[in-house]
Amino acid sequence: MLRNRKAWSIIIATMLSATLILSGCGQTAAPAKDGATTSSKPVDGGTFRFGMISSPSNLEPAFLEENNGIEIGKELYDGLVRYDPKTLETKPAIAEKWDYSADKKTITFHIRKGVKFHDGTEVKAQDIIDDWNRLAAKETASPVSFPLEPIVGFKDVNSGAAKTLSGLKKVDDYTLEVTLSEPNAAFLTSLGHPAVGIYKIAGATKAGKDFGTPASTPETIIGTGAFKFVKWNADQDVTIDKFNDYYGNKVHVDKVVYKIYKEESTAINDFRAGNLDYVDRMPPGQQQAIIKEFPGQTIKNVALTTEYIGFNLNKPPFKDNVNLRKAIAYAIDSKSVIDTVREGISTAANGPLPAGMPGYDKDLKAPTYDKEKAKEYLAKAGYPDGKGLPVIQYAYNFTQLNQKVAEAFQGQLKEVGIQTELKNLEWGSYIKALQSGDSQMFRLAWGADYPDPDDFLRILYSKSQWGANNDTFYSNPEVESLLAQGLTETDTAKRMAIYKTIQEKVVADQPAVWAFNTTYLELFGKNVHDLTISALDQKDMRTVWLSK
Amino acid sequence: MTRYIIRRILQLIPVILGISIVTFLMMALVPGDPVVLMLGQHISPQTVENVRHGLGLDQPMLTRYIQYMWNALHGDFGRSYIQHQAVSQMLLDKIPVTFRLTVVAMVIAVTFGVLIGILSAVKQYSFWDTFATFFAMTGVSVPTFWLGMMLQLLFGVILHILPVSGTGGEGFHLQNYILPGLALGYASMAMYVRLTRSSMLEVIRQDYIRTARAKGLSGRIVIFKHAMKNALIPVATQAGMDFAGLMGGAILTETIFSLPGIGSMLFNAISRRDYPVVQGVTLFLALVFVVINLLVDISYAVLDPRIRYD
Repeated sequence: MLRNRKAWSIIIATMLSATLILSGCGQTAAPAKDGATTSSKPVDGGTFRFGMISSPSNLEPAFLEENNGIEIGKELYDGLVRYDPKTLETKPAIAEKWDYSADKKTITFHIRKGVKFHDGTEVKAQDIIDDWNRLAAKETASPVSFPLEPIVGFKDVNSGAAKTLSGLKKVDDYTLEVTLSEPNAAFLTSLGHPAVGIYKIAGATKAGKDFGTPASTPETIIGTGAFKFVKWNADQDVTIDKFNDYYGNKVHVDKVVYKIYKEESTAINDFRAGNLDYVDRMPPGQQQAIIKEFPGQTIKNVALTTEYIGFNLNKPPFKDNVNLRKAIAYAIDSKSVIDTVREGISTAANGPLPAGMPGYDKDLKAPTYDKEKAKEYLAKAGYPDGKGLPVIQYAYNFTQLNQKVAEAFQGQLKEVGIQTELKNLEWGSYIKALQSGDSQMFRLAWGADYPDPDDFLRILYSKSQWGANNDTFYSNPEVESLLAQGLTETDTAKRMAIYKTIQEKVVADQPAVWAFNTTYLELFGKNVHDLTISALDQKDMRTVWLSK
Repeated sequence: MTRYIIRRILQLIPVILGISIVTFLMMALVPGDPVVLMLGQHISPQTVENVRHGLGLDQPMLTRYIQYMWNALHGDFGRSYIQHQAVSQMLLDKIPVTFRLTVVAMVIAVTFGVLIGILSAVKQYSFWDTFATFFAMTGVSVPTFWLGMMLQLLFGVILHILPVSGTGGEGFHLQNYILPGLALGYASMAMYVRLTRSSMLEVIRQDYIRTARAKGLSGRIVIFKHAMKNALIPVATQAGMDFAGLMGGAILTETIFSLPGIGSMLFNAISRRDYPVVQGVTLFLALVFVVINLLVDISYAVLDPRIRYD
């Protein structure tokens, strides 16, 4: 029955791949075709079948915290602004324009007339105020209310002392005035996060605690996006339909079905069987085989995520010893690890910010692999050839990939005389240990919530984030002052110059070794066109179309 | 028998209570904070406090336990910390999937396992016996993950005769459960082959079987009417335990075939410290084990009339 040679080759390839996974081996790298899918004259209609690895947690905007929830949520709820998927520039959405007051503390949003909720009613300023008050409320306990933090009155609402954000004022049905505690250049960009997306609060009230859960219905999830909610079969699929009264550009596909998988290999098999148009994650160890099996059908998408090895600057041996930190930075060869362990599907980072993030400096000179320099700095640090240096604890949260990367780095460090002891923990315990300072050297990654350098540099290198996100416990008064300036400076050119200086200072202090920018290999069908995937790893369903 | 059943049902109460206490304590004592696991990147102390308060995790453990049990008695098992869905609804959604998968796997495992086991015993040391031994060895050796993938490729990708994954939508779609049932049932099937073979070999050497043959009964009647009934007692015990085990333990199969069942739900809940889900699933599984044990004990009486419980 299996006369077809291709069929046999698929079976054999998968048997080998499955065997490789079981034996824990990786494969070698080769380049894949990069960029967005091809474009010609769009065809309307059809169902886009999206293979999604792991279920979204919840579809209520206030809980759009993880990638899959955001992926679907951004199609259901439009915000005042959105990101251009190609450039990540902040563009008008429900707000067609906005003005700043002279002191830059007040922003007046002019709401587009005729924007409809999915039940056909019109979006007005009060709807936005209601949604945002709900998002900020203590009882909502949202993990993603951070875009609203700069608004006057946020702290009171978030702590339960007040019910409404005093910084929000309805001027008329189509004008909303937002007052910030101080000028904040990142605020507007952060409003593109789907957590601040607009939905009809009556639906949420009707659903009660079921709002955003798989028990949701089209009568409870009433959004403003290009697609409207249809149903969510828990752990199986989420279906959304084109919203015909959408104010934006014409959408081509009639329907998107997000089929939920727990295992990447299963999604790939369903893709092979012709049951999917797109798969967003590939099985580890099989990525190069997939590139070869589906030539021209893969995209390597570099995400706004930097993976790094952090040093605890509050504890020996890294406290007050920048030379030891530099020695490690020179000893680590990220590129070789990308080629071997990471199957060629990653990009070497050149500093704290990922490529594609505004303010990214491609000329930044962070130390890169140089064995001789590593030895030189090790001697400067007081440990010639590693003599006298105690064994360093190198921690990582357990995944197979993290383990392999840690083992590879451990070997590289050993070559220059730095001995490390690997320690792995599951995420919950791991992050708690890092936040409490119970670490020496550790693996961590940061992905952008929104495309603004403040979301990286202040979060990771400001003292205000000690015990939260700044797990290296880095503190530099100059950087602190520049971070504050960067947040309030509204002139983009001046602002980016500030962030350039910040990066140079952080790199000089070397609180971390910036190893990789996470890159995802994504697979699409030959019938898929104009699928744009942003550096936030969001796929734009408004532009995609399917050829017959 | 009725008194026995009532007694066993009453024994359920302390068992369930004990399990609820142990699970509650274990989840409270293992390292890892559910709030930290829930929150993504942007963690402010106020957010942590709000979430902790919202989940009731700022209450003392005893208060939380009493509150939980009180609500559970009223049918409210709480809400998932992660999905925010009612645990009772999650169980209602997922139990049918796991039940269907278990039934299909058990039917495949027991039917083929017993038949091959009988054949192997009756034709001892023949080609069929060797084949059955080989079959049993591969069954326990082949990893479910690998077997599942191969079945998907052959029947889903190459031949296009069975779905690769999923439940096929609402209701029971047998075709969606055949491949996972095979992957899950194969290892058990191999075990039933060996169990039936050894049990059957023991039974067919008994005097009453010799008597039956001496009476001139046909080989088929001797095997299927007289020998099989007794040989199946250990199989029934094992099947009962397997059924209960599979109801909570088919994590790999559910994962490979994207079946939203109890196993993967429990696995995810434990790894994300989703206490209400862990509690709900554990209590459900405890109930399943106790009930299945009871049913197995009752089945002994049916299979062997000499066994009485009064």
